[in-house]
Amino acid sequence: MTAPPLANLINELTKLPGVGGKSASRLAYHILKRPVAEAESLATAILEVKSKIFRCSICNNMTDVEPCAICDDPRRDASIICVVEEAFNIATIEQTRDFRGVFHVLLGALSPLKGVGPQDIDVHGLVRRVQSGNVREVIVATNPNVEGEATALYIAQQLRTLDVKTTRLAFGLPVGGDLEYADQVTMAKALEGRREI
Amino acid sequence: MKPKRTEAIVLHTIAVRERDKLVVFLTPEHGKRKGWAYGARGARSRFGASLEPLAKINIGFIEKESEEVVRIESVDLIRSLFPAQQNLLGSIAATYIAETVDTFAIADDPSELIYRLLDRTTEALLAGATPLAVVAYTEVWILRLSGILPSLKNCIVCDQPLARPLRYDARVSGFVCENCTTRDADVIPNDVADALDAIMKFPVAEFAARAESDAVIFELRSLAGALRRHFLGHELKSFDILASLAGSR
Ligand SMILES: [Zn+2]
Ligand SMILES: [Zn+2]
Repeated sequence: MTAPPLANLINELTKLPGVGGKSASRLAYHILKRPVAEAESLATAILEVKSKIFRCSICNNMTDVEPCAICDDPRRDASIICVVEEAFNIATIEQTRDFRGVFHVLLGALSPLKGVGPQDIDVHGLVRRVQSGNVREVIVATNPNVEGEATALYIAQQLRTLDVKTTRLAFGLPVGGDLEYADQVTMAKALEGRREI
Repeated sequence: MKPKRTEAIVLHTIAVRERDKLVVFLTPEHGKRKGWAYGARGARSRFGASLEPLAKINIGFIEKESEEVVRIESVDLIRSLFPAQQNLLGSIAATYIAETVDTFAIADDPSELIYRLLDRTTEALLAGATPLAVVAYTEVWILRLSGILPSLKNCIVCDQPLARPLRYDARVSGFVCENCTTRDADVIPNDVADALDAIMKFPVAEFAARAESDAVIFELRSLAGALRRHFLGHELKSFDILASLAGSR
């Protein structure tokens, strides 16, 4: 039988997304083997993130300052807003270092089967930002799946009457992949998003 | 173990772990099944767009007797609904149709008729049929195939042939004749009764081509909705979202 404190840690770890019983047990034994200081800094980091991180009032990004570092950066172009489903999607786009605009986090995607409708995601906040002026382009970077696409269509519908260009991230072929393996949908979307060279 | 191969339509998918999908799909011969698609959410997944909701596919899966969830081995896309899902109402209507079928189809119970209903209705959406007409058609037919739709020909109380106008009595969940009717029975307008007959008689594409008025579609959907809620004891999850988007067109 596993000692209760250890079982307790394993149980807590299994509550994390993507962590099954086996991984939780491996993580728990790993923590057990490491020095106390390491466990302490992990525990502190977890508590700190809960007490110090909140949502930026402009873009919904996770931040410890108001507004967030991106909204507050004068070198960024506030006239281009990139719309993402979740705050962690920002990191993926930031990695490219090519995007110099700002973000808007929807806090989800339209998902009728989960009962998530237009009122449950923050399109309202986006519309308000566009209405306040100085926004030239909204780039919709929701996920390339049915829910992400429905969300993009809804956003486009809500922005239609406003003076702003709305674009959607291209659906393309994965770099390093073989054309041979592309399915018809991916191929059709890649053709649609072709550019001049 | 040899994989089973069959045609199927994806009803819905659930994102699981980092890169996997749990896929609920309907087949003509094996009924409704659940399967793991490992790595399906990765950018270079071999499954690509073929495991998105309402895709029609050829699927190969491995089934272990002790496990409820099969393992999806291979998928070839026959037809994607993506072009129809690039219209907001079309996309939400498709999701609603999938939920309707998912709710009434019984796991592991082969139902070729339910499969064909899903196949034809999604095909109609792709061909550009009015989403709400296709939805109404699905709502009525799923009741029929589940044995919930009361007779349109004979009185539910006395079995005498029904005449126009049709009268629906919610207390007995059925259509009643002139003699059995009560003050609580709703008189169904003749154009709605005609549309109901057309749904029973014609394939979905032909019904959609009749271009019934919004009012008739609304009445048909209310009637089907009353029967469905009476049977299920609740409403479908995507019902309100479809209603809110259908109104804001
Ligand atoms: Zn911000
Ligand atoms: Zn009668």
